[in-house]
Amino acid sequence: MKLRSLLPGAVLVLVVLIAALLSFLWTPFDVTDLDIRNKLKTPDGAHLLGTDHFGRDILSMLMVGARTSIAVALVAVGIGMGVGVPLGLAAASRRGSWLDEFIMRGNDLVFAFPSLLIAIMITAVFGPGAVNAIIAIGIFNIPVFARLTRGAALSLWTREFIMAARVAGKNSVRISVEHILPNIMNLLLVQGTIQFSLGILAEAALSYVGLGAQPPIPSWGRMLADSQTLITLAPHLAIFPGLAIVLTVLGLNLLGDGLRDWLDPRLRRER
Amino acid sequence: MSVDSGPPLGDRQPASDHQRANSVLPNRVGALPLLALEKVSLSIHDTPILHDISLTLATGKTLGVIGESGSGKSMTALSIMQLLPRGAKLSGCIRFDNQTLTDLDEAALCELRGSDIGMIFQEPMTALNPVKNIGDQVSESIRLHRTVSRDEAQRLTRETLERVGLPNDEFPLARYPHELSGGQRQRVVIAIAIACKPKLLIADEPTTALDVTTQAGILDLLRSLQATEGLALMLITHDLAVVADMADDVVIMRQGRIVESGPRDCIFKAPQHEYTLDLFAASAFVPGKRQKQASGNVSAPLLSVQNLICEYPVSRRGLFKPATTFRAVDDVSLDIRAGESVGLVGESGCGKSTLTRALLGLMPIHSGVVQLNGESVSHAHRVSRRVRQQMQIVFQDPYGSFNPRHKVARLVAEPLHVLDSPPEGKVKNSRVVEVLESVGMSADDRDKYIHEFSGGQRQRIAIARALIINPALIILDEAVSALDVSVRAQVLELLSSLAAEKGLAYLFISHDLSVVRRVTDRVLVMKDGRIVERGDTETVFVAPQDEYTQALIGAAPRLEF
Amino acid sequence: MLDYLFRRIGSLLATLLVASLIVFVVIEVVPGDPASYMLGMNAEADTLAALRSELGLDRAKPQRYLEWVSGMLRGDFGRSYTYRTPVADMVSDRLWISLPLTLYALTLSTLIAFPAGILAASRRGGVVDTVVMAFTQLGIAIPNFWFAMLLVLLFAIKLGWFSAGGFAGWDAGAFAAMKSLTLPAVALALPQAAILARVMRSSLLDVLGEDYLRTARAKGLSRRQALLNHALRNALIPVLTIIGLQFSFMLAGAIIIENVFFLPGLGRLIFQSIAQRDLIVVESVVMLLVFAVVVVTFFVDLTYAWVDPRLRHGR
Repeated sequence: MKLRSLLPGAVLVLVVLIAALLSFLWTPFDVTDLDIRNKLKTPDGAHLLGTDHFGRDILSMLMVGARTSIAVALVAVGIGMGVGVPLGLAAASRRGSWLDEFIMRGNDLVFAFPSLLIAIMITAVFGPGAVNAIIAIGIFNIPVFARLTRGAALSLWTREFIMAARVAGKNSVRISVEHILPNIMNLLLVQGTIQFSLGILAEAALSYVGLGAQPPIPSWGRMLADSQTLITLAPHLAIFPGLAIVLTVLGLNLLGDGLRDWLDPRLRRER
Repeated sequence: MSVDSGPPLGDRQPASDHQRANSVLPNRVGALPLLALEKVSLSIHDTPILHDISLTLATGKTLGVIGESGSGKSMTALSIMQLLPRGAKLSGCIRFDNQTLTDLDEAALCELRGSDIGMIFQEPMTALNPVKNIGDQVSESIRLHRTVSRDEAQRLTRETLERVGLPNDEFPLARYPHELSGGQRQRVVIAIAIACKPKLLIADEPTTALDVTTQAGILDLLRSLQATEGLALMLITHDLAVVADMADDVVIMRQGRIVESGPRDCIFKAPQHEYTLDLFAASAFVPGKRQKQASGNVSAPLLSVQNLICEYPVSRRGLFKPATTFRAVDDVSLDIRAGESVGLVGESGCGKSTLTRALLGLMPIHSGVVQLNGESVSHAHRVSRRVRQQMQIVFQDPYGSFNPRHKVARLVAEPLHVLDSPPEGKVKNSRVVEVLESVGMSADDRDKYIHEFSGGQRQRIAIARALIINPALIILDEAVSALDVSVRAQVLELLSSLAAEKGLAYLFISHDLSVVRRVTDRVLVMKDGRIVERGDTETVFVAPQDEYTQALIGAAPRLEF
Repeated sequence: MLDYLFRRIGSLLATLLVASLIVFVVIEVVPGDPASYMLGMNAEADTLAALRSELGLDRAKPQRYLEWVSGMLRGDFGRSYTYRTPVADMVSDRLWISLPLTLYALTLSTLIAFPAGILAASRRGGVVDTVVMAFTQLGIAIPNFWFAMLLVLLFAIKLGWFSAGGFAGWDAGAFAAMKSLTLPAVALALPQAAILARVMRSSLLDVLGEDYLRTARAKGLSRRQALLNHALRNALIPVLTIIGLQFSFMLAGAIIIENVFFLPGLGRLIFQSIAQRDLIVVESVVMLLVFAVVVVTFFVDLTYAWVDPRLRHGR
């Protein structure tokens, strides 16, 4: 019954993904085409979602913008998982050691910084741009995954099947890979979708304040920033990019919830 | 209404009682029971749980409800409390004290619960709210049902706690649950249940989670409460021995049905139903003991432990206080010879688990020597292959001891990793089939996942996993404790025949005295990290020397009478 | 209890120390010399050197770090490179907007989330639960700055109830000041309230499955009484963690929201300073925000001890 969120979530995410991929091959209009005569048009047959103050097609810009959002958020999640999961596994397998202590204190430290603030600081120091946005967002994914992995792995390490593997002479690296990782994969997948959606929001916020992807690359946050001065004149400029963000994030969250319910063996047995 | 309240204990006539109990005669006029269930059936989300449960209980009597896990005994109790989970549908009629509980509305039921009916649960560690002190939790019950002043409620609370054996000078009301032991917490739970002097007390496995000495104390308390307060007691348990001591009448449940019921003496002396017979047979089960080989005693010990000490660092209580350590295993020495079965008995927290881990080389030892066939096991993470090849373990929890994501073949084959040249392909496969069959499983089970098996089957698979490398010693860590009695008997039988066949040595670790007595040649009794008594199993059980052993053996409920 | 307090204070100081080091190092690697930036491309070499020495840029880095930290301890945050005024004064003016805004939003978010979460949990699976959950799902997905724009569109432009931006100033009276902070606070609060309500609900549902709730019901408490007397306090523990995290999130979120509403708060200050390479201001503002977050975490930890007696006794 809980699975009702899986389908709408998957559909929304799929639509955004397809739009992003399609934009490599085809968009209704070229996003670099400036057509001042047709500026600030409200939605009509030619421009389904209208045009901006340079006469660019909003729908086309949204499609290309999806590319930026997804790429930034996806790579940031990759950084978080790639670094955080091994750290968490290592910390759990040496519980209470200096390594564990070091990793956990490091995590606490990162949590002490308001994430958006540091993202702003990093992009400000190293210069605005998509790559720096990815790094800034990715850094904050590391402790999230490290902490999650460590917590889940710790409870697994006390389980008897891990003891059995130790009695069978397996070392901690092998146990982590063979027994721990497969058993926390679901958890990581669900957290991955959540961090993905947070990444989309963070990217939008950074490009809104001008620290994300730089023009001429369209991005949803930047479109919102541009629309702000024109909000009384052309509210649709503010509405559509916002809706794109909301629907993408909503889709990812629904997908995450659905996946969690679907993958939870307790719920599955009841079906 | 199969169980009548029964005549007074004095004029008991077993044969006729028994017949009456199993007939469908109506209740005797005048002796209206306090509690009566009539044809109660229950389903949860359309899964049937209880079928036509009928029973009665009179004031001042004790009714024992016996069943293995999943028999529906707890759901029967929750039906009486009308505290059923979501999606529950109940039919039939539950009468209590001239009221029909099944007709009452929620407000009336709230008034009844805790005031006229009290209930005690199995798990004392989690049954109390961790963020409220015990005084508040007990007095809440009083203030809810009696209109008394705050001071009066405090006084009654202190009095109630005294009644359950928690004197106020030692256990002030401001204590929090985490500052109490399991037995003490269970006493607080009992205090909550009896604070308003209920007419009926339902105890659902009240001692299952407790150590045997603590268990005896709680049972004594329930018995004396029942005598002094004249309440009706419904005692739900899986343990025949607990009921044997206390119940006037007995109901035996299986798969949501009552299979047999009647006065205790009738059921215990002349059980009728096949399942009841099985239950008794399994409880009294003694596998054929092997003859000890005379030569085995002369040979060098297989496992030799000398003056073993294991310590844990205790997290510092304060910033300026020195770090301390807790000595979990204190100067333990023991020998196990090839083919010998040695029992290690102790209550929870006595250091059994730490000792096990140290023997397996899974934790660092502070001092002392552990040797297997002359080779040291002393260094954690650095245990040699040859040691690992000779020692295996079977754990208590048949659910937690397998990786749920691997198939049985992979699970059973895992220890092969430790061999010098692990078999591959067909050889490996035939080895897996061989051990599976030797524990009474079939070759087809290889391709199943562990959740497809019952608890008893899982323990068989766990034994297969231990056997696959032909170890000389298997450590059985509470290996049958989580199993129902009938399944337990089968697993013990299997262990016994495997030992005879393969000349295995066992270290049998358990809190359950009866199990240890049945399957071991020698026994060690452990308390606070030390071995307080050792000797031949029978000698220790018949003539225990140490005070603690005596208490332990004396406290265990027994079936014989 | 005292031990718990000492341990917390110890970790608080350690975190601040390491954080200050990190902030210093990150800012110091920034390319570009503030002095040459301020004087323009074709400044004389000796003017540049004089300015560098005046700003303290010519001293060794460890020494500058020590001076910076010891200065902050005395409440002296240095002088802005650009405006040549004490950073402490600049910051404290701005703080009087950012901090009230954050607290206002946090209060709103808690006031909305608690009833919503409790209601949803107690009516689990019912209509109320479904509606609340649907709204929270939406709330989580909305970027707060976009929500802010929508609020401006509706309440300022269409309805004219609030002004579209700017700050009335505390001199105009508390009411006028709070009124100009209301739309920003709502924009900040609602998305966070959605998260908090979900945490509250799931935490309560977890606790409702505990054995001691059954004990409470067996005592004769109604569902409602058991929920309020026994479940709520236990469910509060994870909720407090989230409230603590949200404080830091809102403080940072305020930086962005201030942009939408043209509020002269810390956010505007930090963007200005970044643009003008006024590093000392950036350093100080970041450090100040980190300090606020760490202190709030400290108080959240203390609240844990109040809620959970097991922590009080040092376990």
